[in-house]
Amino acid sequence: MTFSSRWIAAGLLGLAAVLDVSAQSGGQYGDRYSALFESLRPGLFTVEVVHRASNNKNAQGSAFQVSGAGVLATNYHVVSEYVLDPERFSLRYRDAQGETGPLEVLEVDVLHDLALVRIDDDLPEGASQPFELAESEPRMGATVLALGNPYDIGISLVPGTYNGLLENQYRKNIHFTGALNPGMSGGPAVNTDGEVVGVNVAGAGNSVSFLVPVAELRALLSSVSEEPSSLEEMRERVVERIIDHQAGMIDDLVAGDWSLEAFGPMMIPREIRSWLSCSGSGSETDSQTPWRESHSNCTLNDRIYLSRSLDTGPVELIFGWYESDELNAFQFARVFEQNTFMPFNRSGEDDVTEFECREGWVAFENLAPVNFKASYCMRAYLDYPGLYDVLYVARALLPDSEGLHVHYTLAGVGHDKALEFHRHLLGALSWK
Amino acid sequence: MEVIVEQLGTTNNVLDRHKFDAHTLWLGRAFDNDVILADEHVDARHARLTFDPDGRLWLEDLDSVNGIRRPRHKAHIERTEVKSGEIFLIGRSRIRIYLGTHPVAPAVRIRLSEVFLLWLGKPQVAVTLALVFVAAKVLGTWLSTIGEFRWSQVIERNLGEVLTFLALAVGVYFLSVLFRRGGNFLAHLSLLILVFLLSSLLEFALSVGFFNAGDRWYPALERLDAARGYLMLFVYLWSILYLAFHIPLMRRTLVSAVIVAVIAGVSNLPKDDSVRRFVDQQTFPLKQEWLPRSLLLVQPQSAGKFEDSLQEILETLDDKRNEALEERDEDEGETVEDSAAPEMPAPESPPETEPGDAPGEEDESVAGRGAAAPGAEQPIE
Repeated sequence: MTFSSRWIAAGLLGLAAVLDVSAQSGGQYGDRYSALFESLRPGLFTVEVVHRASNNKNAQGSAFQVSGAGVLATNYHVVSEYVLDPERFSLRYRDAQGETGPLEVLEVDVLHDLALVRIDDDLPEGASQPFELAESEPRMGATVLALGNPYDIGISLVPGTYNGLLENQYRKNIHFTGALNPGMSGGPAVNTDGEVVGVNVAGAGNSVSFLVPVAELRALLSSVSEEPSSLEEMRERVVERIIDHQAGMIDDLVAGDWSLEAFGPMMIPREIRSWLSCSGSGSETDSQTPWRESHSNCTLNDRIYLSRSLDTGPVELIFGWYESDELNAFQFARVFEQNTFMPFNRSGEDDVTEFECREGWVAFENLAPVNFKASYCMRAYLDYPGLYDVLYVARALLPDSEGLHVHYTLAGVGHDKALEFHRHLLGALSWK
Repeated sequence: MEVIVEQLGTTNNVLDRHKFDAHTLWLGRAFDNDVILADEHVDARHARLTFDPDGRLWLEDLDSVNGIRRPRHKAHIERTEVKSGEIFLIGRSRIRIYLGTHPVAPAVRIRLSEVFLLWLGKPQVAVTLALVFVAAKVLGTWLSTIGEFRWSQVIERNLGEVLTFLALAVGVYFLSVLFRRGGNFLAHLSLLILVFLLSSLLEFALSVGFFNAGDRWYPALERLDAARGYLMLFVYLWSILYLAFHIPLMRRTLVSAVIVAVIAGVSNLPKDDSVRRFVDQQTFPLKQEWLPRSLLLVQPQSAGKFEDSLQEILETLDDKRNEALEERDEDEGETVEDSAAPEMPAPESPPETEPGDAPGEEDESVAGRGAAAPGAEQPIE
């Protein structure tokens, strides 16, 4: 899609949302929502992460009651600061009447950005009505109502539509057309019967928003025991679950034979899975850049939130091809070495180690007689032992000023699984 | 009895030398003296050198206006015995007196390196080297120009370097003239060009090394690359100390080594490397050096062998992780103390999203950060 047509599409979506709201603001629909809103309100909460030393609110999100015993569901990213550093932060709720009290974390699911918390003292009055979870998936286009506390300005109801599961994600979230704003995270999205179909999790602007499917919440609820795990146990399980999950993703990725497509002189994998989004780009020779280059770029931009500064999970598979009729071999080498390669996931200064690499000239049997200078780099996560990011580049110069690079990044993987992917990918490539 | 009288310059360089075979010598400004000193502070007949019957040599002041003294002594000398090799000030003229029997140092062997350095001063050598330099610069500029090559680029890119070279050669030349050792401008210039060409050659050899090598060789190559600079500095200093200041071999070797060691020490002082560490976390950290494929001289390893070597990364990363954790604990110890004072968290603006982003491409978390309401409204509590 070109830039301008995207704008138009975005504009149409916005217009649709305005019409939707105006149609519902009066008459029987509006009355129906207001009754529903009133009945659901007692089960809605605001969750606050409080900096202990200064007693200042550090983060705020929404939550909703899922059992009579005062268990609330919210997003992991709402409570993550408390889970990661309970000595610096505390966790508290605020209900519809403005009553506040402490919360404890029962269980977390970082893969789906969910957390279960429990009200630590006596249940506030009128908060004994847990939300019902929907048994069936809504139909495409069905009305879904998102509830939450945007920007902490008060519990709000946002009507929108259910648009199915996102095909370009491995852990498929619901595509919800309705404006989710900061602070609504962790709130429920319900159908017109008031049953939860998903949990508010993210927005991409212009009413394009995402919900965690209720099935994941149901799975988390069934796994939780009466006695909460310690925060340390939870953090340990996080590593196991991420490694397992990424291993499953890689197993899925390497299963079966890939159908390859031509790219320059090479045959490469492109949209081999529906959850990989591929794009291509290229440039032609001109006086400033007397060479041609093309890139094939396939990504899984499906990130697991670990902390404010750290996420993991995305995959990137990039091929580059360069050729020039005008440059001599030295000049071409200068062009070729300009490329930079960076990790795909976000990390802060205190989240990961520096990259550690092996680099050398390698001959691949399936790509003979061309030799590649290969660089395999890994960095470790400081707080999640056993979890690594992998960054790989193999580059080759071909005769007549042509060059190729094969580049991929994996995030949040174990070493053995990463190597399995590595072997599969490099073994699958061939010349045209 | 033989006497040698030398007239000296201010740095005791010999300006004139006379040898006499007489019992008495007259020194003064008048033309009937044996040693004529063209100095307005010297009397017409200023001093006399005489041998006594025992063969000892005496210097005697003939009641002159400014007298006779030894350098760095105020006292005027009426009459004194002369030891062979002694220096005296007569008026403002400086003379050294030797006896014919004074021993001399053994001959210094002519060194090839010194002959070579002097050879550099020949005009035809200097011109040839200058032409090679220009050719190297043109070639270097052409090979590194991507896009249209213009001759003006050669001048633009290299003017600074050429001017620096000229300034350095002129500077050293004037220094050497100042110290009255006789300057050799062309030799200085040739030497600079030669050192530059040598350095470029080494640099190219090292880049071939980097291109061919794997990560195991990088540390050694990087050290060689650093050593290249210091080696070139040493060669230059060592040569200049001979060409400009005629310092003997042992002394100039020592002086050059000390200067290079001091510079190396200063430039390798431990520094805060947190910026470098952050860059190393975020980017591909290895050396990027690409050359034409015909310069690939090594045999590649098999894919399997390369994979086997990856296991080592895990062990190194374990160590790195432990180090980083220790370092972070230390840092956190400091920040916990800081945060004892109440601090206001900066209200963060809500996540900005671009219109028209494809779904899933730019997922923004919608957790409220702080309580900043749109339009800076106060939160309703």
